[in-house]
Amino acid sequence: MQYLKTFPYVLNRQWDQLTFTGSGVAPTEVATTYRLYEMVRSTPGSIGYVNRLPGNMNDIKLVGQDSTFDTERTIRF
Amino acid sequence: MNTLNRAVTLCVCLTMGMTATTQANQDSLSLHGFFSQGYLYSKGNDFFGESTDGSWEYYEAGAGGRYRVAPYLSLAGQFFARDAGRGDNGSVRTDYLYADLRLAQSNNAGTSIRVGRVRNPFGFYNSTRDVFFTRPSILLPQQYLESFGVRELLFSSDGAQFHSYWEGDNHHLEFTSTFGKNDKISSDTVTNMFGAGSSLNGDAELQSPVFAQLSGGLAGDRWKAALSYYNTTLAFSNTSIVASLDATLMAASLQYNAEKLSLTGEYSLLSSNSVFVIPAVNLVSTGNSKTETAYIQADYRLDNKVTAYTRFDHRLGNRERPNETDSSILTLGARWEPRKQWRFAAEIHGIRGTAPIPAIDNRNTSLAERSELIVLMAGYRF
Repeated sequence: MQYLKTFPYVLNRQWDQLTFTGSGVAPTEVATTYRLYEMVRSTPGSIGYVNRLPGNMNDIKLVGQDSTFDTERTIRF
Repeated sequence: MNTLNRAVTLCVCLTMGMTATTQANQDSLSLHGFFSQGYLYSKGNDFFGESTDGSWEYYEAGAGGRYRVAPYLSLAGQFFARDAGRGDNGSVRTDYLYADLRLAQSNNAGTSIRVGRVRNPFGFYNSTRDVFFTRPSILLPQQYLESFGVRELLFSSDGAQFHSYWEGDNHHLEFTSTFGKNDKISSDTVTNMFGAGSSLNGDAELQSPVFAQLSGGLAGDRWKAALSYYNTTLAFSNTSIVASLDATLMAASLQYNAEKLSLTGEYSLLSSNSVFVIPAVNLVSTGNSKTETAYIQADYRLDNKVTAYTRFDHRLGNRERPNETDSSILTLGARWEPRKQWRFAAEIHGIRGTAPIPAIDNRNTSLAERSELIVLMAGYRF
């Protein structure tokens, strides 16, 4: 909540509204933590939202804990 | 989320200015689709097929996409099919297909114009009313005229739509207005509006539909509100009668979102003024009517996959004759979303009154005053 400034379920609703009216494109979803790490690392200005941090991520920045269910983390390049 | 140890949920690419080329290419075309299948079982009246014997005649399927032609120009479209008893026959239609041209944009505001077939915002749910994943329940509240057989008057318009937004630190505002061109209304819809025995039959014309909605949110949509307006004229003409119906539909919507609990309330008022002319007998008749609907729904998230909900939905057809024209629906339901692509829901409706009963599914029987309805639905999206 502190970093997203909203609840994850509200954010998902907003993306669904944009997607299904053709007004916008929902965020990219990836299958693994490592793939997320790779995308965030290679995309300047990007932000990722995970529930478990990969082991070695010295070159990206942990923004903070940001969860209604205690486990999500936000990482930023 | 931690219990299944799902590794990663989202990569939110807040692309600021020039970003990696690969990401820009990925974003230029996006595709989506959905399919949902329902099952209905009822007592009292039929809903979407012969549900008193159990009905599978309820599905929705759609596919669409958005293509970014240039940073300021996008194309968007969605094709859709729906079966709902006699009310919808599963034929494929163009849900929306438009060009979206950004006229101006700053860091916290923007304006665009969309031209083509556009979805009409009305209340919280009309613009995505056919997508199971965006509805608050399997069946929409009465405000959305789901069972009245007049859906084509609401869901999209051929014309131009203006859209503006403003974002602040703790709030956002949006304004959307649609100016539609005149359009033909099918004889099925006319029959649903006035009944099979009415002298108003055959095709009709929807003239100058105008939609407008002002919506906004506070504190990350902890509070969300919308004011909606829709006006159109329906013109009928056959060999024996000429008629015109000016209809205005307005709605006020409010939602509160907390971590576990959401409360949603919407009120709508449908006002209509009509003129009927029967040349053969030199008769001119005028009339007006007002219909109000209101509902309140509570959603409680047991965890991030399971939500239970309840809703009380009331409709008043005429304040001067409340006992003859009112109807109410009490709904209890739950939905389960084991993954983002899947949603399953079950709900039970206790219905009093005949207004929410789809007349087209009960043509040859007298309507029962009370109905009980169980609805199940499973949906997949990509």
